Amino acid sequence: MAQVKVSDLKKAYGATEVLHNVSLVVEDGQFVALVGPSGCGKSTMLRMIAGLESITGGEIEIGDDVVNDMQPKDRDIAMVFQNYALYPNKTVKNNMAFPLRMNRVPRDQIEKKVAEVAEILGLTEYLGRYPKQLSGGQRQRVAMGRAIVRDPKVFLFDEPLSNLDAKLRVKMRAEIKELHQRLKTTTIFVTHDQVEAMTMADKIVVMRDGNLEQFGDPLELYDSPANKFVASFIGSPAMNFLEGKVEGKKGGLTFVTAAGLTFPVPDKYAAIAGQSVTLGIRPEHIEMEGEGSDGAVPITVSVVEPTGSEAAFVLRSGPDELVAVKRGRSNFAPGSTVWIRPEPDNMHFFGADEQAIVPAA
Amino acid sequence: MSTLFKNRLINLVWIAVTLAFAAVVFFPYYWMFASALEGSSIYQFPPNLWPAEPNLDSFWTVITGNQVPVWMKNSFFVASTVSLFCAVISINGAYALSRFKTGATRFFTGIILFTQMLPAALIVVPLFVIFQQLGLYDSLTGVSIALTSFILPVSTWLLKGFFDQIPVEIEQQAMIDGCSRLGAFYRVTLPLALPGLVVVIVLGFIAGWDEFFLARTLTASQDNWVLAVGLTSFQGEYTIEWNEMMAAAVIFTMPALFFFMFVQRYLVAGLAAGGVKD
Ligand SMILES: Nc1ncnc2c1ncn2[C@@H]1O[C@H](COP(=O)(O)OP(=O)(O)O)[C@@H](O)[C@H]1O
Ligand SMILES: [Mg+2]
Repeated sequence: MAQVKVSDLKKAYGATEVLHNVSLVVEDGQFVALVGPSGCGKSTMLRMIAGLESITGGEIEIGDDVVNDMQPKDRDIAMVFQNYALYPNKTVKNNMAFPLRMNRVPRDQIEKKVAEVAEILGLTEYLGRYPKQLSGGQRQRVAMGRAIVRDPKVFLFDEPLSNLDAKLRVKMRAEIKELHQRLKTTTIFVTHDQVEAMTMADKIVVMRDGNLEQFGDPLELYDSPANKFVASFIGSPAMNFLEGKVEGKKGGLTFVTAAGLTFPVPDKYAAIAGQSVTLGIRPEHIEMEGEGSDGAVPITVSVVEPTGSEAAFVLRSGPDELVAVKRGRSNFAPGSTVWIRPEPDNMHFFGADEQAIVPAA
Repeated sequence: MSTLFKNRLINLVWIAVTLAFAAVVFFPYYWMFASALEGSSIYQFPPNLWPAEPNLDSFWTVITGNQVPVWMKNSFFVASTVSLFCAVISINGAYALSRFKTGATRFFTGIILFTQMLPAALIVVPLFVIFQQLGLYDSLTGVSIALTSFILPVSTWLLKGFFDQIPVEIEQQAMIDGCSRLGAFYRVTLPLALPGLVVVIVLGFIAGWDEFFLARTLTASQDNWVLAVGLTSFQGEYTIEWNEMMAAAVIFTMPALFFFMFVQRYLVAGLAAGGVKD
């Protein structure tokens, strides 16, 4: 077990820099998710930690060692690739035994360890099979098994669940999380799926275009996104954004869009009165009522999307569009008028530079 | 006509065409074999389709003669060294071309193919001069080296195709699992490319065994002839020992035949590998 420290990490392919001065510390035993849209540099960073890509600038430390010039085999890490990279000509057993053999573990210990891990992952009856005789989910487990037999300092996962169907993915999500709670090995888990990141990780790194956008607890990212990108990336359905202006003064602050949609704004945002800003409000933070009441704003329901446990409503007022989510059943029909009220404590404002505006305490 | 009948008819025609084609391909071999068994009765007209007095005399003469065994040994030397050189060099070259994608490797990947556009006849004269200066003229090693330079580009390309199909992650996994880069290659990647390697070995061997043009040009003394060159010497100025020549020819085709039978499984797997996605 070990902490992983990345300092000012840079990666360039020729003249194009794909990773710009990324720094972060993954503490011993932590499960950190690296999340961001496709092409943002997640795999590149993970592969640099693994030693599979050269380092253009900066430093990587695993435990107490700077590993910049260390071969992958000497870093004491295990990795699970998106395509599992099982050895097709080896049985499940030999796939899992391979890293132990390479590290000169005595034969009887290999037998014991492989049997133990196979038991944990429910692979015991498949030990004699070849990878092509296994289902996708079983292959995924073998790849996991090969990683955990080694008892490495760090697990590196590169989108290990993205080739599974939705149901299996949810199941494996829980299994991996459980496995981590049991083994407590430092883990870096790459995914493009924010739900995966939110549900599994102790801490999340949000990346965009080779930059680290925010690093924090899942709920911290959800409650106080540092910028509009993180706000839009974390949470599902995604946060609503409205362009407008904060008007009035303390006691009567309002946010008004160009088309005239108006919401009251809490006093702690008095400092931005008069400024053009973007209002961010999550669908689950919009209260909806069938009748008008004080401070509520009328708006037209244009689409209803029920899922059973909750329903999403697409609301329209002129050119302004919002999505609201309400738990349980409700009988707001398309075309009808409802009254909405954004929860004042859950409003987010972003400046012209897309950075979050921090309210006065 | 019912469709069933029609289908059957099409099948029959198809089989007939295939058989006819096989017969055309097979007949020269049969004729070669029949003539070798014929013995002295070969000089009859019209020729016998089936040997009049089948016997192994010509084989005996050829095998116990003091030239054919030497030529066979020479052919075997050239074939196995070409096969070995090509395998060893193309394993490394093909791996580099497949895995290290830099401007230089891309350039070489292209230029290797370019060498295939030069006919052997075009470079055989300069080759002759160079080999003479290097003291490689009239030596079997010289023939092997020259031929290797012709076969190597093909085997490198072939093997590169095999390496290209092995996901690079498998090798990287091996590197994480405790292998050095070279170790990962020899322990994991190369075994997965085994069908390709077998194809390359067979290709080299057969090319070496069959070689005539370079061997004829780069060797002079009869003791340094390979079998393909030696075969032509049965065709004397005044007489042609047809039966002995055919017996030698039968012997000549045997190794290729055995080799193909032995590695057919790999060859089919190897040639099919391009079209199959696992
Ligand atoms: N070998 C390479 N050569 C050039 N560019 C590359 C190479 N590998 C990745 N990239 C670029 O680096 C960026 C990050 O890629 P990657 O780390 O794979 O993204 P992610 O895993 O987040 O989807 C992408 O823009 C990609 O095109
Ligand atoms: Mg990736």
